[in-house]
Amino acid sequence: MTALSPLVELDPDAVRDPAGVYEQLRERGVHHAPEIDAFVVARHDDVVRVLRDGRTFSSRNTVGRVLPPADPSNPRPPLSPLLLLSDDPEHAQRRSIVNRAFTPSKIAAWEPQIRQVAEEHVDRLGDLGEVDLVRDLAALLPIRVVSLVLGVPLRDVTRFREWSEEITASVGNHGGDPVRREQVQDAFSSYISLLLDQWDGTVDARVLSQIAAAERAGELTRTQCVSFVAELLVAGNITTTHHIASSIALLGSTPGLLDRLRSDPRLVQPFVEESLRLEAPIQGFYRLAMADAEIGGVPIPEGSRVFVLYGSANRDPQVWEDCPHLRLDRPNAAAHLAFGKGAHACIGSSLARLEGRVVVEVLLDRLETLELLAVPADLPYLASFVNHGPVSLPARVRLRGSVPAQEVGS
Amino acid sequence: MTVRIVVDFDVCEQHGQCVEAAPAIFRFDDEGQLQHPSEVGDESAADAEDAQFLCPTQAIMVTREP
Ligand code: HEM
Repeated sequence: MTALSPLVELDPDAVRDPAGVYEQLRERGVHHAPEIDAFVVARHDDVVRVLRDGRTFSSRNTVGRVLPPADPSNPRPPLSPLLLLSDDPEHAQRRSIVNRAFTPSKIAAWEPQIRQVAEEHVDRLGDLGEVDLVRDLAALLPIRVVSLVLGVPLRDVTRFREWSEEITASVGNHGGDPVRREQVQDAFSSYISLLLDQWDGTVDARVLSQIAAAERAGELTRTQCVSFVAELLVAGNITTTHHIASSIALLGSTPGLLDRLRSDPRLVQPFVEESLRLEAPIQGFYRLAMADAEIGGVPIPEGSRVFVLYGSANRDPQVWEDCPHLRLDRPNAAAHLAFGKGAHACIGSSLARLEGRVVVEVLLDRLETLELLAVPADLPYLASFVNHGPVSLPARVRLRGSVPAQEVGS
Repeated sequence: MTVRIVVDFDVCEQHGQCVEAAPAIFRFDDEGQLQHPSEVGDESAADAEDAQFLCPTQAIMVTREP
């Protein structure tokens, strides 16, 4: 039994609220946890040091294991991410190409359309009476928004969502059905290829138009383009779903918060940052030590696995005054590590922040009441110590200007 | 609104992505040293934030202050 055990054993209370475990891990300092065979890094300054030193701490095992090397005899090797698991110089070179599609100013141009999508989905809740705000909202928006921003035609979004779910599942599950995986991957690859072939040569805010231009310029191969789109779906959907779900859980369970945000809409962005800080959708990822190193005074032998806890850094009292509490007046609000730090910092952070803010704004604008039907301590969370978020948010919502469902016809 | 810009020179590796993204704000001087104003106006906020995003080492901190 070590401090980390409750998380590794997926104790539901620890998974829902890992703050107590993290406090012990920070107090203990960097140490080896046999349960995950990795050195655990929990203090903010140590986390930043590791993330900033990609030369010593490789990303090849970020998701906990190293992918097997590509089998040259396999004509259809499994899609592997373009960025997440690569190191310099490949990482820097690839990232400098695809980065251009995700700059804050390019992403900001999508705000009106993202708002429209969010309004559509929130308005639909009004007809449902009792809802599950994960199933009926948080799980639906990210794939719609990413399709929009990529430039996937609306008529294909349903198919696109199905592929996205299957590809995401096959990444976590190395076993699975290899035949099925190949079928999905082939269908997905042909579809993305078709969109790239149909590209009309104009470069605009649509991410696919920018990838197509990079392909035409010889900067990316076709396989890299497809891998990158798959990576966006795997990295961007469940994380954003969890972020939206956690934000709604905070909105519904923090007394007075809804009214405060309504009375001063400038507080919505700080709220989104606090939601990311306190409920980081990715709590931690791995690195691999490529040389003998030292973190926080502790020697790390070459070849060691290192588990870097963004979620704990976000609760480090050295950095955050009054750290357990949601505060809308933090001068360093955006300095949390929910999107990581350094070369691999989330490429989708501008999009996720924009989407998070717009959803909250639309909810504030459209909802008369938001009543969660479970107290926070009873909410079911995904059984994982890497991904963090509620899997279900039963609620009763009433839209402004609508008649409560039970009064209809009475 | 003012927009404050801080570059952490312990982290900066002079990749020059900021100079490309926001040449009106960031430049290399004759010695190859990165130069930038510590404050810019509203109209430059978006360029500064793009530069912050594009920095390969995340050495740039941009804050909007009302
Ligand atoms: C609130 C939502 C999100 C959170 C919390 C999040 C979190 C993260 C984190 C922590 C990393 C860094 C991994 C590391 O240190 O190795 C990362 C990387 C990444 N994220 Fe996100 N992400 C979110 C949304 C998105 C979205 C919407 C997209 C794309 C549309 C996206 C695409 C990526 C990609 C491609 C990477 C790999 C970057 C690289 O290795 O250079 N993410 N994300």
